[in-house]
Amino acid sequence: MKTYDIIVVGAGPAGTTTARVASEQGASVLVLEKKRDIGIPVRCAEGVSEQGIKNLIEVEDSWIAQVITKSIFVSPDGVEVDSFPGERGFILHRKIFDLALANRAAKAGAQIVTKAYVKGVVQENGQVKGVTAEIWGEDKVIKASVVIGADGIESQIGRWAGLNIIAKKTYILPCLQVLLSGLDIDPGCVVFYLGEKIAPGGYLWVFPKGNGIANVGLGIDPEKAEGKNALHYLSSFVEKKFPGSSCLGMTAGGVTSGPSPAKIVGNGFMLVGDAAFQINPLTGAGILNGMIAGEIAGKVAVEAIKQGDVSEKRLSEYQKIWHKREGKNNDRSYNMKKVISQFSDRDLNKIAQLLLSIPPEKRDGYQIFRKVLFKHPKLIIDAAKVFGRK
Amino acid sequence: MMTSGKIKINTNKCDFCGVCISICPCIAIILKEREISVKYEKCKQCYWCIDFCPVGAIQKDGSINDFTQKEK
Repeated sequence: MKTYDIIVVGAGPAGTTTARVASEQGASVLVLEKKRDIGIPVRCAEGVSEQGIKNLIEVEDSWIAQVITKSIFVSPDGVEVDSFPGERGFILHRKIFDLALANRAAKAGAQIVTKAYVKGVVQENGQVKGVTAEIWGEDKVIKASVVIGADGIESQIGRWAGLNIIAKKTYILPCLQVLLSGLDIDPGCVVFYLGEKIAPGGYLWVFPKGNGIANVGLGIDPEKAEGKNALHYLSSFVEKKFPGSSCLGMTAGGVTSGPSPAKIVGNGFMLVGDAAFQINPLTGAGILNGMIAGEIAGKVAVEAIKQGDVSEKRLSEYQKIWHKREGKNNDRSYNMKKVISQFSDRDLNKIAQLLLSIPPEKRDGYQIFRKVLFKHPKLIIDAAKVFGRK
Repeated sequence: MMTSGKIKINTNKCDFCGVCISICPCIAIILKEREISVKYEKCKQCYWCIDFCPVGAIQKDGSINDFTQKEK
């Protein structure tokens, strides 16, 4: 079997971005995707910021299900607060988007194989040298200079290679989402519902995809859910809020909601995307994070291979650049999340009332915190912990 | 307090999403595309996977081999 410069495990946005960038730099790249079809099933709410994605890649119209111009937060007692105007967003068709990114990687020269289940890493003298995989039912050993784990939340590459990257319980939120049709909703507006009864320890989202269709999903903290699962909470909400709607699809999944892991590289391997917990712990957003990490990882891997040094030390350049660019933002969001997750439903109801007293155009982060904190002095201490650590 | 027992995954309910694998401290659950299995010799029966399954597809089976398994 051919030896590659780089093997990427997983063909989501992080994996195919890594593969495309590395191929563009002249590396030979093999992408192994466990599933038979790229982009299916969609385990994602599909929202991205317009500017964020345009900064990264040329956007095709066919990827966009809906342009978003507004967002609303609904407090536990049902008060609606329009939030920070200004930034527009897209709800993507991830099936089309993921396929397009894979196509771009393939066009750049990467070889992509689906139904290719990676079973382990090949290690020699503490260095990852390739993977063992079952490709269309046949066992193979494939060698590469660098293995990149873009294998999602259930990532095993790091663990097999000896990294202690198993999530703590509090770092994972189980999620469930349905694709509902027949909804009478504002198509340009995403809505977030908060509250212990709706989505304990997380939030519920309604992301419109046009034509009366929307992704309706939630993430919960099982420790706060009193033995009930995501399905229970989502079913209750849908029955109450959207009676008579039809369910066109359902997917489960999970998002990480913790701080950056200590290590996402090792001798001969790197982790990108969900596998490296590159998700904003407050919002759960991860598409663009994964693509940014993929760009950095692809470049660093190729340079390292050219220099003949794929040691952990050399590859850790990727982790450093990533941390400076996005990782530290995620860590700040994690600290904010810790503060917000202490709010009771009563606190959130009060905060919603306070926010309504700020004119919508002035509802930026600073004004919100000023207003909220003056009324709730005990929160100042928590906030100081978050913002004092910039 | 529930009795100890092996975990059992109901593949009719399972969405093969991987959340259980992400929190399993023992690397005891194996997922292919639509195939999921438990390596019982690795499972230490912490039951986190039961709490974290979004669709309630994992349960404790109290009837099988209880005498050989000890709760951690």
